[in-house]
Amino acid sequence: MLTPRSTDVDARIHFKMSTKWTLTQESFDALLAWLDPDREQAGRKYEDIRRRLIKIFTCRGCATPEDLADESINRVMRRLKDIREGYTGDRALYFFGVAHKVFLEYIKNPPPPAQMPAPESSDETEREYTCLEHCVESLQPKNRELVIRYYQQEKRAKIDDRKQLAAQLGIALNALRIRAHRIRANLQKCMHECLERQEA
Amino acid sequence: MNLNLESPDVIRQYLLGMLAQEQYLRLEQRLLTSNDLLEEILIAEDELIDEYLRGELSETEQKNFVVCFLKAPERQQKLRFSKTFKRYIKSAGTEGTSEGAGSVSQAFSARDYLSRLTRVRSPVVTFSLAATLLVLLSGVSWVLVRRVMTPRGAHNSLVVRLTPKLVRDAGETNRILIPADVNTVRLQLALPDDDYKTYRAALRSSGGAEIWAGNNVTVNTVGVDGYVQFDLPAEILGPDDYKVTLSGHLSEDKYEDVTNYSFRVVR
Repeated sequence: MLTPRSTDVDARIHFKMSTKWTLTQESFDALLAWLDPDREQAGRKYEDIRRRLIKIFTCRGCATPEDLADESINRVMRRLKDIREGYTGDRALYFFGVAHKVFLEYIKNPPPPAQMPAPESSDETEREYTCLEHCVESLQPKNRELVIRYYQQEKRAKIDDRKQLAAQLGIALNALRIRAHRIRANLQKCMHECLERQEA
Repeated sequence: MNLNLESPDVIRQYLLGMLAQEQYLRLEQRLLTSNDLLEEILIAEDELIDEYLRGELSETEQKNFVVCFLKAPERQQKLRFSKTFKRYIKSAGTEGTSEGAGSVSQAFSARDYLSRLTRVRSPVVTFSLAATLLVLLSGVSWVLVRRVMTPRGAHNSLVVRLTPKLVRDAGETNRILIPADVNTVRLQLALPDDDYKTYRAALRSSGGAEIWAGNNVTVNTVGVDGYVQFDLPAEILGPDDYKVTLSGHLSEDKYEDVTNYSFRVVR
């Protein structure tokens, strides 16, 4: 597995080999340099672009969004020597153009529809619940109370309670919505890490 | 036709695969560069899943949800988590918090932060934090410091973790000893909240002059604890008292002050 040389670059950068073109350290370095002269910034931009491409392919209903995002990035790397000097504008938008072409090829030959995963067993459900409980208990008390209170109530009562909660915190309703979402996203990540530790 | 790409209705239609091609192409181009739109989409995904679980989607929306929205494994995982989360919230009720129901604390408190510190699992960090607490109690504050070996084996980088200033007494200050052979100091600032995706950090000396500033400082997480980090050349940190002001990025050039971190450099 090829890895970036600099020890300062976040270790989450990763990529896969294209079957028709050989990925090299040089081509990956060239891509990073094209994204930003500072390697650490370039690494973050790379990750960010990859994450957004995965989201786009996910939103387009693709069953393999990560593979398609990686293929798009590989194609940009292949073409880089031709576009590097003349390209102006936001680099991310070039990835978008390539990704759209990858998508059009994908829908011509989509993979067979994936089966929905089998319903989880009661053991798995209980393990997930226990992990989530642990994660919620690990929250700061004010975040714990915020997320529980935000997601309780139904319909009209929910809207009123959220307005009240936002007023108590001294923030706008949308800021509360964002804060609750971020806590929820962290809880999901925490729960999965807890499950992985149990399986290890 | 002018479409508000960040309106909840447009995003909802996008997620359900119900936007015309020209519209979703414009939205996706924006998605590649806009942090706000990306976050709105992530939030809208959760909200759509919640509506699905409550049976609030129309027949068409439900069909699109199952056929289109749930195709990606990532979304199937989100759905699974949301079911567990919903079950937890339902059972939590109003008895959920140890601080007492109904009272949402607005201010960041030293007690909350110290109780968080004791939940860290790593024995090395736990020991270090316990040592820090002991030192605080004795009136002299030290910070978590870790030396980083470079591949060549020379000690030339120092990692310093700071927590927000808990006491305002001028007699208690975090002290950092920077050895002569260190040329980079990496500051890791523990975040009181995770309200922002990026921050601005500004370093001031005791005279008040801003001697270093960094925009677009991003958040890292360990477990559910967030922090930001950046590198400073050691040469700018002469023996003096310093303050780092952390400001959350609101929009474009607008920042909002979040908290301060103080330390004293000794050589």
